[in-house]
Amino acid sequence: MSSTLAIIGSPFIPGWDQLGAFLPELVLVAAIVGVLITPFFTERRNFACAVVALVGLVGAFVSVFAVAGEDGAYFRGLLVSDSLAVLWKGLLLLFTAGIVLMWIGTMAEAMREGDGPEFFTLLLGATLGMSLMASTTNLLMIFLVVELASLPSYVLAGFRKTHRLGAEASLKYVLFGAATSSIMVYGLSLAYGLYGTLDLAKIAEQMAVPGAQHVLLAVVLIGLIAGIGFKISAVPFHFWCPDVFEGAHVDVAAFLSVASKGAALVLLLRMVMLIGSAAGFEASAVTVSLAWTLGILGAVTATWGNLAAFAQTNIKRLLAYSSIAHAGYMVCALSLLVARRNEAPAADAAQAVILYLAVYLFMNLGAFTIAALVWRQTGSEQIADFSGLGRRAPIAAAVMTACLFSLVGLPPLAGFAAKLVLMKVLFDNGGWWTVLVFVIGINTVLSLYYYLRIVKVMYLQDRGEDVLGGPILPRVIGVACAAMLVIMLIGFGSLDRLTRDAGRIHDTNSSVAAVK
Amino acid sequence: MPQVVWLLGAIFAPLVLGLLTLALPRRAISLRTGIAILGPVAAIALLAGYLQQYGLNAAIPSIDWAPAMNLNLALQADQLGIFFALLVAGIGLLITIYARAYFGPAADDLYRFFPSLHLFMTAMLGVALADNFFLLLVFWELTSISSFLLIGWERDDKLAVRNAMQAFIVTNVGGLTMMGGLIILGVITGAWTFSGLIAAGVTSSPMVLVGFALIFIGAAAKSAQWPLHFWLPGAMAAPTPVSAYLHSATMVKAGVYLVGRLFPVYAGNPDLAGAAVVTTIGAITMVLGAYVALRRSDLKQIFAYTTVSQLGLLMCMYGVGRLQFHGQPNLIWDITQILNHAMYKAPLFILAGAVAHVVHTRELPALRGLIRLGGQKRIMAILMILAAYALAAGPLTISFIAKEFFYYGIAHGLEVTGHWGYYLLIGAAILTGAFNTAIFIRITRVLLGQVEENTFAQPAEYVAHHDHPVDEKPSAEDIDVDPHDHGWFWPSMLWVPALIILAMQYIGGIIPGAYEALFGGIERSFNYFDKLPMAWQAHLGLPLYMSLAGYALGAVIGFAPVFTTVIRDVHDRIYPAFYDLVVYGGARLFRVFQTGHFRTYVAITVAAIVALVVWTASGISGYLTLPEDLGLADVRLIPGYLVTLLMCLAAIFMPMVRQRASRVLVLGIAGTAATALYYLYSAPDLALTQISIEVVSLVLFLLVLALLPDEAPAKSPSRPLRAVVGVAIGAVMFWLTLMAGTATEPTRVTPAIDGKPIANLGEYFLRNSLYGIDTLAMSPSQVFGGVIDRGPEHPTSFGTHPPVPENAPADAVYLHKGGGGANVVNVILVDFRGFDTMGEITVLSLAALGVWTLLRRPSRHDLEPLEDEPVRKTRVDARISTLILRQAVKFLVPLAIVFSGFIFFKGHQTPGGGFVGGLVASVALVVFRMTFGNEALRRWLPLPEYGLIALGLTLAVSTGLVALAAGLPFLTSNNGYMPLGETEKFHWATVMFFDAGVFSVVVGVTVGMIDALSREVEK
Repeated sequence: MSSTLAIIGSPFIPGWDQLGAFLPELVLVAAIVGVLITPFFTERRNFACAVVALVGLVGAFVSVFAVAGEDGAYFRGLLVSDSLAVLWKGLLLLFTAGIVLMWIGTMAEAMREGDGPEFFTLLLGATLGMSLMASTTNLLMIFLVVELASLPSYVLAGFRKTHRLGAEASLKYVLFGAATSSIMVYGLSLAYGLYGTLDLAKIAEQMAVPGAQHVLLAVVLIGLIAGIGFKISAVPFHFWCPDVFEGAHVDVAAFLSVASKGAALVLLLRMVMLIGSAAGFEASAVTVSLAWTLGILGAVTATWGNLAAFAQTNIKRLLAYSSIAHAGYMVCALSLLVARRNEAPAADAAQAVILYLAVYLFMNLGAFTIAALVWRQTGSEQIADFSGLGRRAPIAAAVMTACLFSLVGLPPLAGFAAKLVLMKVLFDNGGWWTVLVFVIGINTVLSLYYYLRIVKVMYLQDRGEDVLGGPILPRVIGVACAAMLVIMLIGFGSLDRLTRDAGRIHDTNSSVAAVK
Repeated sequence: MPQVVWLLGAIFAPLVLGLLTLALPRRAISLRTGIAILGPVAAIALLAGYLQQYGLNAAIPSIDWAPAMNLNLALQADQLGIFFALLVAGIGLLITIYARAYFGPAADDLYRFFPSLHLFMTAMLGVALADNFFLLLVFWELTSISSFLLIGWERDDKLAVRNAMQAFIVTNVGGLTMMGGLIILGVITGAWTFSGLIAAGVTSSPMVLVGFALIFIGAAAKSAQWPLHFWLPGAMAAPTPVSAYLHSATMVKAGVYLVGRLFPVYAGNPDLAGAAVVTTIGAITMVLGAYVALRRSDLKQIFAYTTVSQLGLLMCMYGVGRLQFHGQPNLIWDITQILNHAMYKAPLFILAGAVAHVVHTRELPALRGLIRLGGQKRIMAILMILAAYALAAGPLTISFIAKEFFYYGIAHGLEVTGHWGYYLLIGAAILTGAFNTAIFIRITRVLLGQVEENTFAQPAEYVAHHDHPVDEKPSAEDIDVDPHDHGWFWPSMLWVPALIILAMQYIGGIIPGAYEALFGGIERSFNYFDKLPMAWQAHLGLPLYMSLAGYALGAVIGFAPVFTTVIRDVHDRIYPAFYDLVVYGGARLFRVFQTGHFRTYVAITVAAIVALVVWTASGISGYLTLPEDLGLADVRLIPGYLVTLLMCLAAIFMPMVRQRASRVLVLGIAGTAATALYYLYSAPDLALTQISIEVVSLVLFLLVLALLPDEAPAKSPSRPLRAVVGVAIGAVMFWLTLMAGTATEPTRVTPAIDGKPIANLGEYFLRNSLYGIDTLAMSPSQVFGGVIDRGPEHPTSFGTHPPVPENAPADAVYLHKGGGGANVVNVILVDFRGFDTMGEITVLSLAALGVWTLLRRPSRHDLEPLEDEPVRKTRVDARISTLILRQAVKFLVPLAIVFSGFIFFKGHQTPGGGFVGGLVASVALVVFRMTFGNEALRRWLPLPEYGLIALGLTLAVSTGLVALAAGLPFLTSNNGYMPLGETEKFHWATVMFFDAGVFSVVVGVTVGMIDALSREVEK
């Protein structure tokens, strides 16, 4: 591995030999450069940039396989690579590639010629940040990569340049992001002040020392939860989400719905696992209150998201609330960090979350792609304009239905298995976690209604409009997503084996020997 | 393994063949029907083949699917499962034929219908044969989905669509609830299959009870038990074949089936006494359904409610059958009861559709004298009377025997327990029987024409198009096709399926032996009899008396002019109420929070953070206690108090001030006060930077404000609330800061280098900045005493190093050399992390270029105009040109420029540096520009701003390149002393050129941006 990468670093850069484990990121950076210089060579700048971005993303995705197994801490522990990080990067890059394809298939014509380079630079930049969010436990790096992921997202949200709603949403997003970021930095700086190190793994170890749990620790944790909660769009840090989804283009909304939230969830997962494992998954003041907070946060987020989704008429807004609810489910699982005083439940929960993300990715990509297709053909984002889609575009409607049913968690789609695993890990531990299972259950029932409403509009209402034409590509993406939802259910066993190590995060961080 | 394949083949055969029909051209009706018929036929054949090969109850090895989540392909073919599968496939076959007759040669409908119907068939077969919980759930949901599609068959019919939603929501809410229950049982027992669960058994615990309750809710929703039954009558919007098949014969039995599946688990288990609720719910459903059926006029509605009633009876039966009798449970599978219902209700529905097909109405009163109309209508009328006779459970039908079973169950229950509830149950059973009998009598009277017109009210609700295809739906495509079939075959298929089923009903009733021969192998034990009794062998006893009482009462009701008006089922309001609550209620609720106003969002978020802090504070002891002596009386704090007071005043005035510009100025006061604080408490470099930034940003801020549209008159009713939130967050932050400031450090690992603890971080950084880390080995007094003993070769050195030997490895010398500056920040910026800074100034330059480009674009006109868009009326002159200012500026600006140079040169050792110097110079230039205008500035500036930027970048890069030229890494710095005479020496550092580059870039960028903005304002 390192021999092939030797040429990448120059002797002037310390630690160049450690770059090998971050080959996907390097490929992304190269792709950004590629996107920036592409316009000089072609007239069709937008399309060319999309292709370059796609190639970069696919290349980065392939290189994820190369770095799998290079577990350990790199750059003096600033960055880590382990199973969780690799899995997330794989998912993220695959998803972003899907977004680019979706753009080519649906949104490309709507973009002014010449905006492509900006768009794909921002997209790849955000992807880079989100990819690194899975790879760090250093407070400074956490802040940096969260911002690296956020700043391009703000611009992407406002990329519909002539659209007032988009501009407004973007501004709200920036301001809200700045507010929560500042709270997070406040918390992080207190953590640094208290423990004198930026390494979260070391902080977690010190937190676990009896008597070292300073009262200000609560503020540290609140800051972290506010900062990451904003990215996850956990209630009450979620307000930006529906507005931004509505204001932004479908592709951007789709990107944010999975990539941004997933990255933050993985980051939160890593933090929670570190804190939990340092405490030996024992119930201490810190772990218990963190578990409670996350449990309540997850439950409230899921419930709020679902209730609010009921009244939505705009498909993107509806999916925004849906994504809030789904994030809530996943946050619930993170509350397992003190269960049964051993690492098994927390590791299972980590695996459940990554599995859920994997399934969620395809559900959302499929649903958003069809929404984008409808937007392209009708210019509308209203659910009412999906009427008769079952006749007007049978394939698209079928894909949408599959994705929506999977979002509910209905068999025989992978969403069912994902939700089931999530609920099972919670249920296995009994106690208050059972309550969370019931909350998720009730929420699932609630969510049934608003997803189904779209299906109803598509199949049981018809205003006799013309057949929805449009290109074949979005349909191909949609069918691929729907097929994945079935395939993933059938192959759930192998997915399960593949993700088994996702929860063994602390192995990478706590062992000093692993620091390279 | 092969067993599973047989069964899977049987399950999926209908779906595969159904999908196959989609590949045919639309007009190929006969072929389509043929293939569709093959579906259930194949299923039956495969099931028969399986039974031939392996027999009932054979152990079926499961195939692993996802063992980690206990999801395996586990099927079972026991009595109940095989019976259900055969029922589904058998009735399915007849319904497929009937559907062809029902829809006529309507190509479009059949095209759509067969795949949907066969999807259901597969799903239902799967439900019947699944052993694994999750497998069952998968098929269970599929039945709901197909039912949804079929109920909403008429897409133009709003009511049908609404009913489809209603049915789907109710059954699916039930399905999800059931899923929860099954998971609970699975986790507790570790058995994820029904057979495993039965083998393992359960012991009672609250959680087990919850599990059973959840499963029962699911079953009750699917099987239309009170109070969730309302979806089933609504589901009658579906085409009649669907009503006959899904909504009476098969799908609605799934809930009953599930209770039956779990029956061996709770039957005779005294721990699960809570199962009595099954009896109660069943009994209520039974009576209610039968009563409402009597008060309906639409045939399908009548039959739907009798279905509800019968489902209640089935449920009730399982409740009663739970009791032990003669050492065995009262019943095993209750197959007779289920089969019996299918064998009269399916014909009733089939005939209802058939009758409507020929006379174009389903209103019972309108069918007066149907039997006299002759031809097919007469056959239909006779068959319907016969079927209704079975509904009334008259003797000589299987229905009669089945009802006797039920009555026996009640009688024995009373005998065993003596519980008073059984008397109520007897009453309920008699009432149900009476209502059913009354319905039979009414139907008979009407069909025979024995009633006056207007005897029964006839509101026209629930009209399905397909029942009268003549006057409606001549769709453009089929306009040339007569929707009615000609010839004798297909028209007669409207009633022949009913005849076939009814024949079984009566043959079984008259000759129970024949029935037993067919189905006795499935229902293993009739606990009450050795073999089924002939009708005339009925034992005298409570059960028979109950039957007779029912007939008598029914006859009275049937002939008496009571209960003749149509009523609405009050439960029909449940779903609309739920709908209104969640949709409108939810919308209203969330409009309060998701207002679209950023200030609301921030207020809520901030309030949440306050709540979080308060919540944690209430849980952590010591959170609210401070050290006893905070040392607040220290005299050094007094100036700080004054400055802080100023800051607080600014903060308080902030929301009170109305104008934007004034607000910015008030904000400036707070910022300047912060600068004063830095200065007071030993951070002069911070103060220097802050004051420059403060000025520049104030100017930028004001310029941008001038671009905004005029301020709308402020109106905010929630001001007091926001004030409270503001004060709260202020208080929380104040407290946290106090806590952080006075916090005692927790035990922690002391920072160390190479195992040596660093006592004082500041000291470490300073030494590192000046000399590099090799001085760590020395004591502080050695370092700060001004003399460092670096060995005999340089006795008076202060950081001087021996000349670089040729071909020496680069880090041998330079690793241990510091930046030679005491301003740690500056050394880090220009030396240690010079490469970063170079990147940063590049980015800054690019950003400035971006700003200029953007400002030059007429981007504001691209925006879609808003209707009530506020406009900017005021034009602002960015110049402030008073006489005093002009005179003062003439002196002050050159002075400031000189001062900036001073800061720049001093920067390496004392507060200052290229960045701050650049800012100070920029402030001076901006003030100059605002006083004398653009042209004067141009004359004054040696270079245009982009020239300054280019110069800066060139300086920075060439500093680095010089090092490269010397064979050293890029941007390597050096510093040293140049002796000036005997006593003086000049400290030089190569990074000064780099810093000059920074200076130049900062000036270029700042001046350029403010200039660009000013031009925009002056436009």
